[in-house]
Amino acid sequence: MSATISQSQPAGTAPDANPAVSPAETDLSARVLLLLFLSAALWLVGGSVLGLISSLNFHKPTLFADCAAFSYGRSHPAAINALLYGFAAPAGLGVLLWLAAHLGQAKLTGIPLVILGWLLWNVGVTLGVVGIFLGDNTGHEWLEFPRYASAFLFAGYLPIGLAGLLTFKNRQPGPLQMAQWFILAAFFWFPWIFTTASLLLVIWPVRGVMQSVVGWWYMNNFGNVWLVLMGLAVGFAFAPKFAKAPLYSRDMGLFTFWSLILFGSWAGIPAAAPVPSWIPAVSTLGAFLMVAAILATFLNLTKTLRQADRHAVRTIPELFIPFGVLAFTVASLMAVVSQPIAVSVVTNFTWFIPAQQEMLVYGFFTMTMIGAIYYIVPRLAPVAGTDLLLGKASFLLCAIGVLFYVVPLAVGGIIQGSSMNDATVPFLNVVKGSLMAIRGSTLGELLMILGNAIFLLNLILMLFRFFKTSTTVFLAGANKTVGVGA
Amino acid sequence: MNQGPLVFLGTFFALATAWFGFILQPELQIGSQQPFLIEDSGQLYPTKPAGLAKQGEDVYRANGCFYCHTMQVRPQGLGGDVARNWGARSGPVQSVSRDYLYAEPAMLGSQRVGPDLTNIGLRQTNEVWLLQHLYNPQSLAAGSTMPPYRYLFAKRKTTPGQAPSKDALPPDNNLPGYEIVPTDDAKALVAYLLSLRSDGILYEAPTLYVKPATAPAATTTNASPAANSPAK
Repeated sequence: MSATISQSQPAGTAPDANPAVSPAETDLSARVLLLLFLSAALWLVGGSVLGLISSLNFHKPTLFADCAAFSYGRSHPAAINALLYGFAAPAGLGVLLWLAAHLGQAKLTGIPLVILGWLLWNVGVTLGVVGIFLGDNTGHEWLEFPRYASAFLFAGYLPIGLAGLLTFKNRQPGPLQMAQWFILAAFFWFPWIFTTASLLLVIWPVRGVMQSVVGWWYMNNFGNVWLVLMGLAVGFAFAPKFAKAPLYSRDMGLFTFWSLILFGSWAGIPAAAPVPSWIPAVSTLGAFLMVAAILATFLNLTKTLRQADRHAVRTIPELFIPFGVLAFTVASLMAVVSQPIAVSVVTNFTWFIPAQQEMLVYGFFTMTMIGAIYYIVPRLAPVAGTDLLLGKASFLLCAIGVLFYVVPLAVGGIIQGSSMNDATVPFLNVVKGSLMAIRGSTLGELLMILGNAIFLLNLILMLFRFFKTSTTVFLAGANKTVGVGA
Repeated sequence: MNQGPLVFLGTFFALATAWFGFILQPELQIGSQQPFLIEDSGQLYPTKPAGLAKQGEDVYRANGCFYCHTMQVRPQGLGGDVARNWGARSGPVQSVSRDYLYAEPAMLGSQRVGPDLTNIGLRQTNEVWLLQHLYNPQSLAAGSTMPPYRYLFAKRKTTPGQAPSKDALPPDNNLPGYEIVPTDDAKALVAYLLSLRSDGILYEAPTLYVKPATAPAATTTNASPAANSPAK
């Protein structure tokens, strides 16, 4: 990654300049991230199993009739929140911390902060999921965790975000690489939106439909901006790595960055929302201003990846991350297309919405992060090695699974919306008409659970081999001891 | 050049723009809406839910009813909401922001796995029907995918000859020797559902036409023709 950083830069240009650190030293300092990755993988498997439990309600409505916790209205939000807060946030932050250290040729700074944040965060997620099961759901989508859980999340984010900023600050001087723009913005994005939404929805709720406005704003800024910032940071950092060539166009990368934070942050308010009509109108405008940036991102990253040696054997991350790039394009375009009223009138309130969300959260973000984790873990735990066969199996299962989930629900959603809008079709027929799509999506869920479980297994095997062969202390003391394989 | 400050300021600017545009500005516009005084009846709309209905709102939230049921009627011409008779307000009228004034929290929902419930309290006024539907939806709507909420009901053994409990559901032939009694949660939930009716006439959602023969002409003699529109 040193290609774009001028090596001739004198060490004394900035008053606080640190000596450049070798990648191996960075990895040694970043072993604490294994904690984040392991807990994230556990939540990923747990969350997807909960998702399956919630879906079973559609196959046999009477299945959990006597069990409040597993009823759809509780198990479904528990699954979504386990995925978003248990897996997505810690996995993304862990990868971002690693990237911030590597791209800046610095050590990971603030290891105790990371451990503290990781602990608090996971206490928060556990409390939140249990709270949803017990009926303490706040009633706001993607922010269902009750306030006692949100407080832990907030307290847990602060030290992790601080470690990120400290690590970023210790970077080598010089122009930022494209991924570093996304990393820095991501570290600021989450605390702002999470604080705003928690204060205005849970602590001192605004009145009436304003809650929905804040909720839509939060969902969009969480999914379509924050997750995208983190996922594209990985894309922009790894595409040149895989291709062993520079990024195709830095200008296009900058265009993506500015469009995403300036206009992407407006999108997400449904076109027919019962609010003053300028709000969805501006939201639609923001979504359409993103189209060029979405296409530019796709072009930029695929052109970069195409420079790679076509005959070289693809590693596991080289399967996951390009899939993520493709899924990002599809998911973002699905969001843009369904925003204007002419399409929204059909897609809104249908299975198209969860299909789009799954494409974004799983197809793009989760696949990208699994790829990055497959890349990073063998470097943090050098003797571990990845099991290639397991890696490929997890990729195939996850990739096919997400397609089996998204395609039937997207198509089924459009059919559902069209027949719902035809008042001559009895509503019960509309409901029955979407059962086929739901069955297809459950098959996809099963495949994804298998893929997630194999990913977790692979991760555990790697760590097991690492611990077995290494007597080195791997947590906080790691940077003081002599590392293995350095 | 150190671009760190540029990225920071850019991010800050973008967040501030989105925040001012989509949080502060809407809050200034609709955040302090007040209930509307319907002059000829002297009633306020919307009314604050009270008592059992208020508790039922918590049951609705805790059990995630809003993941499958929306509470928003889209305007006429947008989808089939009005044609499906989900609207109310003595005419084909959509939901507006003021309808949700006292919703805590506002649970508009994002999916219609089941029908919209904005006006369920107008469409279905039979409490027993609603309880029965919660206990066993398929018994009233064959083929429904709604899960039965049996956990909101108590199953009590009865002795022959004993009079059934006052609030027990109608006897079920499949369960001889038992009676099904709604818990407080079930009763509160049904009270909440019955309270869901957006039939207040609002300036921002005026009645598009007066349904013919809704009321005999004689009863409206005291009301001016414009009685239904807000005279400020």
